[in-house]
Amino acid sequence: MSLPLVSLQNIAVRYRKKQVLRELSGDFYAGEVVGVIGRGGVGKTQLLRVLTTLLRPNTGTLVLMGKTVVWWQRRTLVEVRKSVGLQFQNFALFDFLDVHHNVTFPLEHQGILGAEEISSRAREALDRVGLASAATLFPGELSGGMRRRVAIARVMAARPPIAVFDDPVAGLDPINSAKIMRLLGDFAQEGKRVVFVATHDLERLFPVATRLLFLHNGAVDYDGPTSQRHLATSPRFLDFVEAATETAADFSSTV
Amino acid sequence: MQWVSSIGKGTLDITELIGGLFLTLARVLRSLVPPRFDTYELRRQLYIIGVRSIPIVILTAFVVGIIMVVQTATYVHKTGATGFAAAVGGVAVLSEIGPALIGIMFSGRVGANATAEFGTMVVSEQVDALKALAIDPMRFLVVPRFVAIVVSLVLLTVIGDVFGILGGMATSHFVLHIDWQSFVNALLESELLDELLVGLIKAATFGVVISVVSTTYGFGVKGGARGVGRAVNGCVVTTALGIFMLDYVITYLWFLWGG
Repeated sequence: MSLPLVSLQNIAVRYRKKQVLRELSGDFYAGEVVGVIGRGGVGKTQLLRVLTTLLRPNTGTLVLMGKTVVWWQRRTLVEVRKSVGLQFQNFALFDFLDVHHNVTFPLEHQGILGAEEISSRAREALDRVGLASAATLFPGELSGGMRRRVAIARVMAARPPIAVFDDPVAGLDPINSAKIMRLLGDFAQEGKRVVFVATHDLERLFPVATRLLFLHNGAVDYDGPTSQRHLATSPRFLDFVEAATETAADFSSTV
Repeated sequence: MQWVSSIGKGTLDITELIGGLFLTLARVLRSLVPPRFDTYELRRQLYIIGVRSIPIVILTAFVVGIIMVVQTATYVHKTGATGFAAAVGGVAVLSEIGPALIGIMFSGRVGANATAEFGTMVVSEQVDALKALAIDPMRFLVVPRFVAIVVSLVLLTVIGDVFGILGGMATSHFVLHIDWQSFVNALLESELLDELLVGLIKAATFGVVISVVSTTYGFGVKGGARGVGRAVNGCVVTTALGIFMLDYVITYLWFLWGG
């Protein structure tokens, strides 16, 4: 088996005397779409922040692309961060740049590609999320859903081997939600990359995710293939899945 | 025992602030070596911070020059020492009131704006986004602004000095009826090169203060829009205090040195 792109080894995070993440371990490989799920406040965003090296765990080891992350070594940190892309829950778009330049910004600062290639990648990514016509607008002129799609395009244009999406379909209309989720699945397959998706929209996640990571109280309660989720023994996981899919079904029937 | 706790908390807050200021200064200086920064961003900041501040600086300096000479009017009328107006006006504008007042104006316009901008970027996770993209926020956001603030304040002080003296000269002519030539002669005889130099040293120091304080408060924002408001407030007060305290220190050192 090939080497994992991401390896978590006993990761634990404490924040203000509260244990946010507990002894998280797991190896994640190219081609996997990992659905990070769980109730609100169980540590999903914290886990994604650890994966992107923005949050330093109190204990444990994080290995990205075969390199152990050493938080106090600036050079190592800069190196591994270039292989990770994060779509922030609150978009984190640069309000001093228009949509096109928000998407080209990471590539321009990496300084690897030429201006033409960067521009072409940005146009392609914006086209894929359905925002080709919004390239000259500024974040302040966009709706919440559009901003979220720009944030997704920014990650996609950079084509990182490790891509992390925090709530990518929250606030999107059903058609765009389905489209974006499919896009994330394709994105994982295209470039032999691992994609992490934190979402509550299980109905749209299940057809795309190859693996589920269910968190409860900062610990992994279920980690297994999506296709075998019905074989899970964790009652909390089964209850969560049932409740989430039931809610979605109830909602669909009322519309 | 409530007051003991208040004193303790106040002491800790001040210590944290002073520590934070020195830490920011150290980080900025470290990022300046080697001097690699975004030249586009530097030019943009020089325009926003420097060029756009010119009108307000000219106005402030001109009025300060007028006030300084008007202050001497009674004495000049009594004694007939017309050269005194030029000397006092020149010394006050070049070494003291010019850099300090322009610094205060500048901190209100530029420092507060920088704190609000950095604070908003922290709150909206734009700073985290930079880190996630392997971009050092200190080098990308702070260093160009630091250089632009220090360079702009020194150059604006020179412009302010010119217009402050022009204001004083105009007032001397129209209010005290001192002819232009006499004012210029008195100014030149006063040998104000040292005053000009100490004024520029002060301007550069105030530029460092404005930049470091606004960065420390901006990057330390916690708690959304209210946090940004608190940070801007803290930045304005701390910068003003810093400018007055350092003004005293530099003036005193200059006095000891024989100025």
